[in-house]
Amino acid sequence: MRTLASGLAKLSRMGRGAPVLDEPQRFLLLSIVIGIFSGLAVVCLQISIEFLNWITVHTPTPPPRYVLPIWPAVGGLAAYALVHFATPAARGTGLNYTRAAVYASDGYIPFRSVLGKFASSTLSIGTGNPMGPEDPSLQMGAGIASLLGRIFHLTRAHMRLIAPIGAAAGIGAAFNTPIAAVLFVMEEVISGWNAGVLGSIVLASISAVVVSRWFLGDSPLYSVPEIETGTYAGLLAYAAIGAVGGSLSAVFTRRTAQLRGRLLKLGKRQRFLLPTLAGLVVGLTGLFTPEILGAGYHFVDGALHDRFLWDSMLAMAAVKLALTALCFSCGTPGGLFAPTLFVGAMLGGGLGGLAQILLPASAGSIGAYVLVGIGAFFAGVFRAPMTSVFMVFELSASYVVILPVMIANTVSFLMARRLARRSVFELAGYQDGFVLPSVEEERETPVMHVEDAMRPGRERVLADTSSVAGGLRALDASGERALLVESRRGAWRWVRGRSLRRVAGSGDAGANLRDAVDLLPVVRTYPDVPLDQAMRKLATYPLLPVASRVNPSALVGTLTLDDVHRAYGILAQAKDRPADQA
Amino acid sequence: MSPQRFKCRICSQEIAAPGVECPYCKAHSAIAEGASPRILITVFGVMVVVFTLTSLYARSFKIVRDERGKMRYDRAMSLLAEGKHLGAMGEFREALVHSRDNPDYRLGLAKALFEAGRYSEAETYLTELRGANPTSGIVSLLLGRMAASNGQIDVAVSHFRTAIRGQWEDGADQRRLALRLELVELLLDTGRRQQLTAELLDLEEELPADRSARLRVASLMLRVGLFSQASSLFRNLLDENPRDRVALLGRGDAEFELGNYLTARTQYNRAQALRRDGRTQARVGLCNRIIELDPTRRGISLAERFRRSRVLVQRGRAAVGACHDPRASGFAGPLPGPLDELARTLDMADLQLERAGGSPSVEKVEANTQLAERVWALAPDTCDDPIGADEPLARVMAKLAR
Repeated sequence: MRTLASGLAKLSRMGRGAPVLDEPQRFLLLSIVIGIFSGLAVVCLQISIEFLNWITVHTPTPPPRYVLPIWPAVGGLAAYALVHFATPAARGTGLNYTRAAVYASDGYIPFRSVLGKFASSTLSIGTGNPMGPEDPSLQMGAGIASLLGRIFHLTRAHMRLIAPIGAAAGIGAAFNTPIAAVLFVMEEVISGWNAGVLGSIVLASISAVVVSRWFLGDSPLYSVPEIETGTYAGLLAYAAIGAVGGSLSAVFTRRTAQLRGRLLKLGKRQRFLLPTLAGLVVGLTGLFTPEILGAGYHFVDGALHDRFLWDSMLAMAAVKLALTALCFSCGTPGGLFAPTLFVGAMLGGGLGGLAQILLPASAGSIGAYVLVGIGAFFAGVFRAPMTSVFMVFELSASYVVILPVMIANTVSFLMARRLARRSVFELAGYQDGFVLPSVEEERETPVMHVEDAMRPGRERVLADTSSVAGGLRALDASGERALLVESRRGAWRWVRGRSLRRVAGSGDAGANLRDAVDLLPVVRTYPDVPLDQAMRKLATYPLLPVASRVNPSALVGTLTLDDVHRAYGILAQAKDRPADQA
Repeated sequence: MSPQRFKCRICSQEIAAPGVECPYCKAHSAIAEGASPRILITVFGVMVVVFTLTSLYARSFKIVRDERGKMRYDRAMSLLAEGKHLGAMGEFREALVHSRDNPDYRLGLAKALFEAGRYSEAETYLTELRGANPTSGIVSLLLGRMAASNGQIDVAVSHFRTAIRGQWEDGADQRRLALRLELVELLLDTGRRQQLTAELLDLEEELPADRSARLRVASLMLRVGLFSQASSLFRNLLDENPRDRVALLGRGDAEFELGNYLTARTQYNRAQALRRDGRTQARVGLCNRIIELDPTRRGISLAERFRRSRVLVQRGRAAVGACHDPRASGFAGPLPGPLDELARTLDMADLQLERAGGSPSVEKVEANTQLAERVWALAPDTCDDPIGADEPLARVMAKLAR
């Protein structure tokens, strides 16, 4: 009855135009709405790319040979012109724009960038340029989320989180990988596990994937045949793929950034021609190796089915890598996800074919190497090891290969990080004028905990049976302004120094603290609590008892603001500073 | 009705009204908290419209995609039928680009790859298809053929058996029969006699109505050595058409192998009446010589029986002695075990042949026959090819041994 009454009341409020949902409810509902809209946008993008591809490169009857090189050039020119004149906000990588929305623009992404990304990516990828639709999907999702956030009047705190939610929806719908999308956004966009937004990201990703599957089918991106991973000795081959993938990704990162930096220094008119020239190179190369044109998903499928010889796979990987670097540097619209998967697949397949020749007894099937190559190269380029593992799992719907993928991805990630400190997106971000926090720096900045700052032992603790005079002596000895007082039952309170002095001044220096002084309540903290949290408590209390997690009545130490300063090196700096500056 | 609340968009603190300066962060972007129902309804309305438009777009996409895929598939099938495997492969791949999960396209590509000899790639598609539909007959058949081509006969047999039990879209019985015959051929070619016999005996129990198939089964039985079953099958076929020359020859061969030379000769003669050929003529001659040598034949006199038994001893002695005669080699000393037995048996035969006189009796016939069998039993140890030396004799001795 009560539920019915509450429902009726809500309906009645709706009729009068009052808001019916509070902010958290709206946020969750909005996540689903974002997922649906992003899913729809991504479906339309993929269909449009296919349609254009059928008209240009993938015609029912083979076009004359001279036509093929023209299409990528025309597509590159048209896409660049569109971005340049109509939607400048759609320039650059979607990942960086989404991160910028989180860190710099309070979640604001202009909706024109969504339209611009849609049209420019369709023109670019649909005409055979070797880019992928996933990064544009990510930016489109973030842009849609930003628009909806503004329409739904979200607060700034929530607006900052809305772009990653849309990004997860976009990437999930593009790849048909809900888990990898969530992990990617956590690893790459918000650089951490934000519990407050996790539920919304999951909801958006799932609803986008449901929409995508509704229209485009529920099969994974690649159909993986029966695969064998080989013997344990064969795991060395997977580690080698990881090492090569990591090294190659570092080379790709550095060379792409170098080339992009040089090309950005060119004049406007020259830069305008770059995507056209890149497209022409792509088209001419495509005459001899048509596999490199477009996103190339079905060629990865072919590699999984043992279609190519190992040497031709390595050659395809090299050509695609070079052309992707060229197009990315020239500003051809499109993302790096699909080319990364293609290069990784061909690299893994090529090295796997070599392993089958060199280690015939312990080698696995080609499909396993292709999947491992995908994961390893992705981990190296995107610096997202967790995402890469789950993405392979979701793309292939195969669990068999998970152990080799984990080995190779870890090796690749470590190798790539060692050889190139920053990812290609971070470097591109700097070149585009964004000074966004480095994902890896954020991920690896150590968090200080109470145990790093607290003073161990009972130095600042008095028993409540102590005398006021004893308390004053302890206070003077410690140099503190307050002390902790422990009762016989293990409860803690605190006492101010000035209270002790006042009582002592009134002649009650011999009296018990319990009877003579106002003991104030205090809250405890624990050694593993981040210092940030503890400092919020120190705003109210001058010192905190640090208790054991397994025996909360046992005191392991105390914490004051001075301890915190000392831990951060603030007091030491103050002491070192010359007197006049201090 | 609860009063409407407003929050600052920047610091989330409650404020008095929209548009006023936030008393906490001094921002001017304060707005009404939340979305009004009108906004909610508008957003959901837009969602429905976009969803509908996307549905229409996706539907037209699917129609074009399926048409293109079908066109490529049809083109590929005709190329495959013409034996242009490489062209067919390309078209099947294109069809799969349009409709990646279509099992017919995948199967077509696997067939083209198989025909082009690209077994490893074909196998990946076939194993995938088998995973999706483990009872598919055609998939198991192709896997079986591929395993047979790779020399993995046990795997091939297993796939063939799965294919025989599997699902077939049209003409399932005919396909199963053809498949069983293909399996039998495979077993025959690879010399797996036990499996082959079992397979043929199974086939005999489920014989089809198709005459040519029964003829093929009977011929295979003859090749495997299932002579009585083969004879029975040929007889049935001859009941239906007594002028079937292949069945006549088949039955003749089966009866010949069973030692029924009279029946065999009759069948050969009937076949000769339909069309003469050298092999059958030779077979008739061989039958005649065997029949004339056989002492157990019904309807002959005791004297003739006795004569034939002596001829058996004589020809056996000659055949074995021609291969190896210990006395003739001039060896003087005591002979080792087997040779000693051979020498004694041949001596016994000589003695028997010297005793030409006397009236024939059943006992003498019996004794001659037994002696001939003893002499012939030594033939495998002494002669490389005792049958080739005197085939009629060998056939009669084999019949006596039975």
